[in-house]
Amino acid sequence: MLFKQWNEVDEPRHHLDSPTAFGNEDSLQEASLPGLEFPQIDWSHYTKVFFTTAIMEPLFPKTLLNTKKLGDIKAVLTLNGNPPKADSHSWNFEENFPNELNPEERISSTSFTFLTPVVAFGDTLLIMVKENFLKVSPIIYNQLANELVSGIICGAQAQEQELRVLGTSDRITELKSISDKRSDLRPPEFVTGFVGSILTQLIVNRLPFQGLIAPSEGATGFEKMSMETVPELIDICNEWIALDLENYKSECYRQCRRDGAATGSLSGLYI
Amino acid sequence: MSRTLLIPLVSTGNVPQLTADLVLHSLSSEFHFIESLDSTHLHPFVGPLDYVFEQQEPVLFSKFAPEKTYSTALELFYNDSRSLYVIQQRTPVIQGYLNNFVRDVICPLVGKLRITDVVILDSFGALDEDIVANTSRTSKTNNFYSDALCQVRSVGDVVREMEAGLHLNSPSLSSNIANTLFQFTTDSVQQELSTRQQAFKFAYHLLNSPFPQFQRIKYCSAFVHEGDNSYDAHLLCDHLTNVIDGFKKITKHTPPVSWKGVYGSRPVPTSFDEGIYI
Repeated sequence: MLFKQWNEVDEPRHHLDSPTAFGNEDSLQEASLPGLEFPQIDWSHYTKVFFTTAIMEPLFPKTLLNTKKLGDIKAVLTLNGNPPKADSHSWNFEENFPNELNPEERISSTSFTFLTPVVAFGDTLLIMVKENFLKVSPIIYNQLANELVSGIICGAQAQEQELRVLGTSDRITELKSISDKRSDLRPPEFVTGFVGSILTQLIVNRLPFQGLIAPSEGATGFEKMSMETVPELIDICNEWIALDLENYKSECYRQCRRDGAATGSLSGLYI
Repeated sequence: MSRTLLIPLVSTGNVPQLTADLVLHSLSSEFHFIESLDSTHLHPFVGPLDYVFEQQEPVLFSKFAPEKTYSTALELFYNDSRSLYVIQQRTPVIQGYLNNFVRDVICPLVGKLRITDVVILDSFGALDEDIVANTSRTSKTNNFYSDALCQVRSVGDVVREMEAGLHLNSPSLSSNIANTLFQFTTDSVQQELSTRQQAFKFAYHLLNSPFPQFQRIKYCSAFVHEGDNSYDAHLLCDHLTNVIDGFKKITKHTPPVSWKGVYGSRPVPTSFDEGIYI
């Protein structure tokens, strides 16, 4: 979780960055929750479901696994509050670092759409969320996880499905294995982001699951994993995903190098 | 008999959370976990169960939820001997969703548990401009705390006035309303509740919910310097005897293991030979 340690700001650190600066801080009215639309998929047809974030993309090489896209989960968040005042101080990244982003891309609309593709290979479903703490409010991850788990997975004979969660945390120093029955996490370690939302729902709904939490560094959506972590992840995922694919590992390494996901400081310290 | 719900707001230095930790873990033989509350409006969080170092197992959870392996962002605990419910909130409310959180999670809980007293724990520092602006009247006090009481039955007129026309951008009107809602003690650092404070929204929505048994909202805020968090939590924990009716002082504070390495876990050094770092 990002607690502004890199910003030279005189703001208390429990005030987190928010992507879509709501204008309703003074309001006493409830804000609208994101609306979700799911594609027509026979969820019970698949025996394995992976929940993860985009940093794990190299573990699912498209051509080798022969993945096919089944559709998009569409989340639409409509804000009815007033935009923030021009003279007030803002923690908007785009204002603090105006050179980093194209000013043409400034968000002017009050409606935000967030798409998450649902991908399948063999008997496995893959739901991989592209997080971005600058642009996507965590309410979208929460709502997505709520409806995915309590609405869809629970209704699709979840007890017979193998649910797998792959996530990262900047609060741990080594790869941790987790499941519904036991956890390698020790206080004060924790998981946040979309994977945190999914785990919350799996725990609250008492669904069996297995998973891995890998150490990472960086803000939500821009994490980096170290060169030590990636081989461990690939080894375990090789057992989970592709028992009979000989070149799975080499293809994963190739994807990692291509994405710069595993190269750590070699690819630059800054995002 | 009063039934109290303690709500720690996520605020400066996370002092209310740390105080809730101290209450729960120091009295872990009396408290037990009840349920994970809906955390849709909070930043996501999943972590392992917290426990006190000397304990073999997380006793807060093991009595009534032995199968529990993880903590979530919002959990409810109960102490039968003190009729005290405690919420532990581990992450901030997502920006823009505080009203949803109070109306959809806290208010129904107050009704369901038949709570008579809601105690809101808060903290603020020199950087919280909205609050600091309301402290000038008693800037000479040596007290670090602000205690306030809102008697629910006496505020009917105020609530009607708010409903009739609430102009939140007008500082004079809003501070007047907030001032009449809560009666602060004379030695409090804060003398008014700003409409921009989280506690104001809690009060507003609770007062607008029809609970026949609901009697009081108590507000307790500590002035802290961000950084020396845990020592402030020890002090606020001792101060709870002034806030919660019949709450006996906790003689031995036992922080959970998650505090290990928290900045400011030792008292502030008073001389150079104790070292200059906290």
